[in-house]
Amino acid sequence: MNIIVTACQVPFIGGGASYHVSGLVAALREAGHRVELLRLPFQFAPASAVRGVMTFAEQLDLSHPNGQPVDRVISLQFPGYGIQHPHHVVWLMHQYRAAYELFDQAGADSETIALRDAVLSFDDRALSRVQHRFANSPRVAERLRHYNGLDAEPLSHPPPFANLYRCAPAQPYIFCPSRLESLKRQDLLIEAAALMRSPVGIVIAGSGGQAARYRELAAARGVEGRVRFVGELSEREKIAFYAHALAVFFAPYDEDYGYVTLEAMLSGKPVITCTDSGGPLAYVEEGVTGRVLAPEPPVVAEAIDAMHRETARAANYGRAGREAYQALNLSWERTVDRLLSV
Amino acid sequence: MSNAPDLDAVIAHVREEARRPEYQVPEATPLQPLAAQTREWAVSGAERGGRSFEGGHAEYAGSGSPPRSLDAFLVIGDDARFIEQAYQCLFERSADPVGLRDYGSRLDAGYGRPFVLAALAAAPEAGPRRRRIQGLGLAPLLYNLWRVSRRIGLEWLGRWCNRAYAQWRQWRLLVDPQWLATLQQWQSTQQHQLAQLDDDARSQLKAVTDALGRHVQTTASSLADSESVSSELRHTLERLMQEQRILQASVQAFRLQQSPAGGAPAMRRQASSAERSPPAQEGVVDNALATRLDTYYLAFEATHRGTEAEIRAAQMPYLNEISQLPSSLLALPVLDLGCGRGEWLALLREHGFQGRGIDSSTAMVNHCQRHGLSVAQGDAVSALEEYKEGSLAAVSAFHLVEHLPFPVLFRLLEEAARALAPGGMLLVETPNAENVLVGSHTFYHDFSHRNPVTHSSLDFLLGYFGLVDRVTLRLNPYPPEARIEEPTLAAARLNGHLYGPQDLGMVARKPVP
Repeated sequence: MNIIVTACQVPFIGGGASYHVSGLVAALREAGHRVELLRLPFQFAPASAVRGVMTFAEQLDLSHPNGQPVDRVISLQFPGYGIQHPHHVVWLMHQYRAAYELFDQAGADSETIALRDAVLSFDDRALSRVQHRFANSPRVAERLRHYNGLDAEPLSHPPPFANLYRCAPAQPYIFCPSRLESLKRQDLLIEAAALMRSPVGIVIAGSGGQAARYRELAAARGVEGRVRFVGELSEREKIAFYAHALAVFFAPYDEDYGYVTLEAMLSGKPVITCTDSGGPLAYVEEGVTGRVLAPEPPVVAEAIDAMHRETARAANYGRAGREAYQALNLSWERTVDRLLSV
Repeated sequence: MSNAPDLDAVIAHVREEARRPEYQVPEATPLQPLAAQTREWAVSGAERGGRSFEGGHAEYAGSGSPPRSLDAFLVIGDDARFIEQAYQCLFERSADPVGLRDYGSRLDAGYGRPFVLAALAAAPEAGPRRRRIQGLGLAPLLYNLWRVSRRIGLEWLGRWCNRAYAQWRQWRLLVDPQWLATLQQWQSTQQHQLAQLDDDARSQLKAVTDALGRHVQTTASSLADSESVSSELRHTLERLMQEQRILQASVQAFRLQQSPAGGAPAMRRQASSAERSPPAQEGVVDNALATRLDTYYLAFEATHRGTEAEIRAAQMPYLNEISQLPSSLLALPVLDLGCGRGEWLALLREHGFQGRGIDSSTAMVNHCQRHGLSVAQGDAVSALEEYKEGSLAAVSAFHLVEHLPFPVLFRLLEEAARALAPGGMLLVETPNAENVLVGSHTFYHDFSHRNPVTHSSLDFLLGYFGLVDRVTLRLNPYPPEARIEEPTLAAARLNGHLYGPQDLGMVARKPVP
């Protein structure tokens, strides 16, 4: 089949989305298809830029570009799903979150509100005319149902390099890999570090807009002794840090999917997450494969102290996590089969 | 913050560990040159005489990442490139000149690419990467057949079977991709049979030839049903069946030759009762002297094997391996043979494993017991004999095998393989004689050492007892400052031989039936 995959390109901002896109393209090619990847340049501001790319997408008809047959278009992100094609399948990674659950009603000016309305009607229109809707996770499907009244079938996929993750003896540190952004809530962990009684360190990996703020927070709380910012890690270093962690902290606010959860489970490590973290909740079971906590520093601190006190129990959570991952039976082959079956 | 851990040391340690080969991440597929990969495929098709292939082989991505299935390897243009890609896939490095030459001449002699791939996949260096190549079909089986046939002077037969198979695979690829599914089914049967290989070379040979016979018959009968199959292929398969019958007859003859001599079992019993005395006391009758030798050995260990803390650090790689044990085995004990001062047992205890030790030296046993470790005095073989089949999660032997006469070593590994639970792990460490300074000099510091145990022989021995997934760890190289700092090939080679890893570890598993 000739397949066009559409996604966004946000220059110099990495993260799980890029892996998802390249993973899908590679898996489709592996299955013997001819694939072209179309990436729409995307910038969050000004509002006119968002409107511009929306209009561009909706006016683009990829039914027969230059007379070439295109059997499928698979779109992963806003606004690529607006592109016209008779067999358009959406596998929704996330919508334009600033217009939805992250929309700040109080602080919004009239231009922002107008943009929000335009995005909502674009999504209603575009997403209801496609052939089939999949969502990246149960959480993303839930949001689509809630805001747009549209159903989507949750369809998961394995994280990159899944076969390389390994479990090694725990060293006394909590590993927290994520972009350093407010939504990822590393501050919750830093605040907790100030309250912890056990001799456990915190290793925060990643870069991002909040790097300076988080460093200052660590200094202000006097926890520089036990908190380390190790910056961006190579894949192999990331795998090694997972392998030796006592536990993995991943408690973003309302995450879409989050490879971190699955990577921690693959590494046989307990996941510490929160009740409002979204995506991870589909995989983390309180007291079985990790902890699901109220997003409050004292609660997090106590949970980490308990992990250190009872390492055997922590190891059991990790082992159960690894077994739970295996039971999910995730593979790109199955994912692609399902995507192309509609 | 008085109770903070030494976080920087931990981070440095983890970063250091990430440099080890098992953390090697395949190069990420670049997103941009997607169309280029399709072109590369078309080119490789053209190289083979202008035929074009549709679908099914997209995994062959040209120079980007090596192919992952036998069929994809078959369509690579020239042999040198094929060998290079096979090395990249299985060893993650370039082919060395010796490999290029040797495998090149095998290909010239008509062994075929399936044979070369199976040989490379069977090499210890491939480790778990050997599972990367899909659809090897009969290749591993036929490679083993060739090895066995060579041993009994029928190498021509092994070569012939491999060549016929290579030609058939090539033909099938061009004519009818449907056969892939059929072959994959066979493959699972073969793998099961390969896993069953036991310590008896003759029954191994029989199993292989039987399996081959069945597969050939299956092939022939399914082929008979198919109208589209050329008579040439049918002819080839009939010959294959005939050769297989000759081979089976040779096996029978070989077996008859061997059996009147009394057979191996008697020899084995002899071996296990011989050489029971612990290494330091060999040939010593005087008890008081034995005790003094024991004490000497404890002092010697303390001076030459490094401090207990150093040894614990050196054993971390093994802890990484043993932590991969399936959780179902964690309730079973881990038996450490020749446990010495018990550093490994202490490490095991800290990480929740049920470690038990055995050592011949009273002084060592007392030392361990003072530290609350569960250690008994005795010799390793009899200790293993006490354990029921399948009752141990793991058996470890650090710097023990080089102390043992071969019959004892043989018995030791035989018993270990028996006592391990399916999925259980054997860990062996010994001085690495690949390092010239170790093999010629430092090895002999210890008077109770007999002879170096080489990687090849150890690997073969573990395989002989049916242990699979064999992983090699080459550890503790000389410090970087010992190396010759010259950017020449000669210096690199000298550095490798003189200042490379001083210890050799092997980890293997008992297959799960």
